Amino acid sequence: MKPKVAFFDFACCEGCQLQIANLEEEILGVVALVDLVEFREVLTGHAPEYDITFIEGSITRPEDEERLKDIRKRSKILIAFGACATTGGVNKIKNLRNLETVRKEVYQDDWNKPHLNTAPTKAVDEVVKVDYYLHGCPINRNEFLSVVKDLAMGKVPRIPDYPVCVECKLRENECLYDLGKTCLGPIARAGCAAICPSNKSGCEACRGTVPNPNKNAMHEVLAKRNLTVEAIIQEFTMFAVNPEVSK
Amino acid sequence: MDFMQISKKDFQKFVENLIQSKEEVVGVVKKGKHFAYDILEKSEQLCLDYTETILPPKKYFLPVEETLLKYKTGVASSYEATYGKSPKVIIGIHPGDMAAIALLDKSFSEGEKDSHYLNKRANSTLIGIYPTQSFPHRFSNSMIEKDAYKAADCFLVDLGNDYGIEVVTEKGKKIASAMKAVAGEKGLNEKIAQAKAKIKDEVSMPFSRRELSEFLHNKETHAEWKKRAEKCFSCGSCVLVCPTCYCFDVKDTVALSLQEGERKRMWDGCMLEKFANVAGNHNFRKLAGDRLKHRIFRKGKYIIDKFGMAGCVGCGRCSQACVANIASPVDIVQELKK
Amino acid sequence: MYPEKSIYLPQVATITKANMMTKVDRYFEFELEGGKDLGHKPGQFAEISIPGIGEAPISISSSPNLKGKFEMVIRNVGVVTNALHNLSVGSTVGVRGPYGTHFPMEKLKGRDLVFVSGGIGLVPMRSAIHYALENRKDYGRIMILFGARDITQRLFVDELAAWSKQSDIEFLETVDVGNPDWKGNVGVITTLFSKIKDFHAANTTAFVVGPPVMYKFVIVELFKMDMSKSNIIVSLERHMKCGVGKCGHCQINRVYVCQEGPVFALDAISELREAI
Ligand SMILES: Cc1cc2nc3c(=O)[nH]c(=O)nc-3n(C[C@H](O)[C@H](O)[C@H](O)COP(=O)(O)OP(=O)(O)OC[C@H]3O[C@@H](n4cnc5c(N)ncnc54)[C@H](O)[C@@H]3O)c2cc1C
Ligand code: SF4
Ligand code: SF4
Ligand code: SF4
Ligand code: SF4
Ligand code: SF4
Ligand code: FES
Repeated sequence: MKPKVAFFDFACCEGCQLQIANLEEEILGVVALVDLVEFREVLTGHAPEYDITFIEGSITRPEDEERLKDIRKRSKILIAFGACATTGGVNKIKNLRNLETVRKEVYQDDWNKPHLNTAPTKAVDEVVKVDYYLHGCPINRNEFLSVVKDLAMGKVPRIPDYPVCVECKLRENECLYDLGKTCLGPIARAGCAAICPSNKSGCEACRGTVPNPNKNAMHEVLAKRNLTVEAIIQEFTMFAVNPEVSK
Repeated sequence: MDFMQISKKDFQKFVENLIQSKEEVVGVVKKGKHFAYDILEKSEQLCLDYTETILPPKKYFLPVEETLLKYKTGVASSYEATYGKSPKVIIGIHPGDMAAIALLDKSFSEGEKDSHYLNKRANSTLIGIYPTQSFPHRFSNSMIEKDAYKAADCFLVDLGNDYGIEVVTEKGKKIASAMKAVAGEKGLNEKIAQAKAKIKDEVSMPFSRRELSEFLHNKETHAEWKKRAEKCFSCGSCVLVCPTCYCFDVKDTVALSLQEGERKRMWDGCMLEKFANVAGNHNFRKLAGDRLKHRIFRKGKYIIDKFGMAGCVGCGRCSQACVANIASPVDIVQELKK
Repeated sequence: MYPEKSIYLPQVATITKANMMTKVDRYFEFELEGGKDLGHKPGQFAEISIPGIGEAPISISSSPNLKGKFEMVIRNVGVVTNALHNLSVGSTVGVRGPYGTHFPMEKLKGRDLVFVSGGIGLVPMRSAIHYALENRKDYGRIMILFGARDITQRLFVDELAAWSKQSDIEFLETVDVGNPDWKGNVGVITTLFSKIKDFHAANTTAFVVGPPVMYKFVIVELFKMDMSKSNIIVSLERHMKCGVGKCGHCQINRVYVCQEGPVFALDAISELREAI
């Protein structure tokens, strides 16, 4: 029997689901493998239980936490989908600042309305148990397809635990450091086929870091290139990676 | 070895004809501010006056990713081997990279013969060239001795308006006659020898390769490994760009239909953290320092002890590729010597 | 085209028997097409594969004298091993091999043998034990020492029971963690050595196979009993991909375990710092 699959979105730009919608030809193949029972709650007939649930977006409001916990209860496998869900993503920048300021900035006069109540941004795994992660901002379509295939075949999906430099080297890119630029590739988690360095822009570790990043060495390398600590921190907080990286 | 000669203009004509003949011809081309091996579409792209390519030419015999077997999912009787294709001619291989191909030839033919590599390798003619541009990290002269001649079909040596040609194999003879190269005038071999002698590296290994193997013998517990590894990202760049590295991973990937698939091998490297991991999360080379040591021992000791050939050909790519600037074998040996 | 066929191309084998031995270990009997023998020697391994899933190196657990079939025990730890657990009798798999070195049973004729295995280490060891028992008169004393983490982890329980009753085998067994139902020894495997009587180190060869942590402790114990390195034989596990000396994953210093191992005499690897 085909696995029942659901997608849910929380706070995010929805760019990741766009990647899925953009799969075009492959989408038919995916649909043949799975039974899509819920797609951002637009499909009706709310199936109470799901085999595989994709959660998109980070968790920013207390009521979202409840909703997420409920989804978790009804899901056999839960996958955090995209950087917002896996690491907190761009949404986490606000954690580094005064929350009230963030709310005022974003919602201006409406900032105090209860439905816009906002708590510190959380990655999905800060609220519920996550089985697998699809990193990236946005996610990589090929990686998504390979996870779907793995799950359909009963395999544990493997996501890369090595740095972006590996994929960058395999594509025979000129290293940005040789072009006078900087890049977080040496500590960033691969899986995106090094798309940014391949387009001559430095990796910002949108997929989070490898499990064991050498943070000190990264700081040293950046400092040697006369980057101030502020600039380095800014570089790291673009995706607010693990905030510890910038410590 | 025969010595022949060809004018640079005629050589370019030959390359153009070769390309027109619809054979796949690979040569060194410019890639941004750097260089890379690529399929030539016209002879003007060929750039023989180059520092070093980003990746070595081994990618044509041991591709970054290559299908070994095809099958129908779950049907063990459906396994079928595939062998891939390689270019007819590769032009512009530096002696270091040529020596590295000689090592790969040895490794893939020793013991169990790897026909995926050997098939592709047998299909190609290799035209080498002695470097004309300096590359600050190169130290091939101190490493490769005569190994390059175990793989090259012929070598070009820049003589100003002409190339001198060292013809090494039967294949080399064939291609030299296809070039319409002429038998060298008197004294050509001396001229070639002189031109080669002028090529100096900016750095050099302080030992011959035999001495290096002996020198490393008691360096396994040296404090340098740990100290140097503090800066290591375990990013694998140093091994992924290395012409003498041939480690690989094997993975199955299936089509979206799930009905059929391929068993593929892809480049892997011992500097990556999980390279020696086994089930139960036990890692036999857990520390970055142990991995760094393993790499240098492979390059400087194990390979020479096993095959009598250079395990490092001094191409300098690792020094160039290492963002942390700690990968240079020469620097490491200098440090171990202190 | 190069004449040789791909070294990565498996033969086909059919699962003829399968049953769970513990919660995570499953026993298999395989038959090659046409009832061919695999042609292995005790201690060797083979690469078992499922098209679409992948390949894994697995020890051959049966004696070469078991004709027309071979046995394995596979622990479910990941992608390939899990898929193997889900196959049913009658399914087919790919097999490459046998690969690697073997226990030198021929050379050991006339000697006393002590087999020391921990946990799943019993699986490769069993091929040598069976071989020795089939050629019982060729060997002196046969001592089998086996340790499991707890009673649920014991493998081949019927054979363990038979060995413990056989008069021409000295069988000693322990579990790391006891249990009210367990009447036997409790403690790590090294606690069994003191129970061996009249040990003649010079005339004994020891076989050691177990989890990575076990070797150091067992070897120290064997040294205390005056065993020399040349009479200790170990089988070592490493990450392996190709099994044929190419992919580099299995290296211990300069040694490729898939080719020069997995079975080693201890004196041949004692200068390898990464070995044990
Ligand atoms: C010579 C030899 C004999 C063996 N004999 C047996 C046996 O008799 N029974 C048995 O159950 N197991 C045996 N193993 C171990 C078995 O090969 C691994 O458990 C198996 O390869 C894991 O594959 P997987 O796809 O199920 O796990 P994966 O999903 O690939 O990975 C699970 C974990 O295993 C590690 N791993 C991946 N590939 C390998 C590999 N090729 N070797 C070791 N670790 C790996 C990974 O790093 C990961 O940590 C043996 C291994 C060797 C080298
Ligand atoms: S450009 Fe970035 S990712 Fe690529 S090799 Fe250089 S540091 Fe690594
Ligand atoms: S290169 Fe870096 S920033 Fe770009 S997609 Fe990959 S991980 Fe994200
Ligand atoms: S030595 Fe340099 S290139 Fe090699 S893994 Fe370490 S940081 Fe990366
Ligand atoms: S170790 Fe470095 S210098 Fe030596 S061959 Fe490899 S990349 Fe070139
Ligand atoms: S073991 Fe390391 S150094 Fe040796 S070939 Fe493999 S990747 Fe290269
Ligand atoms: S398993 Fe590939 S070299 Fe040993």
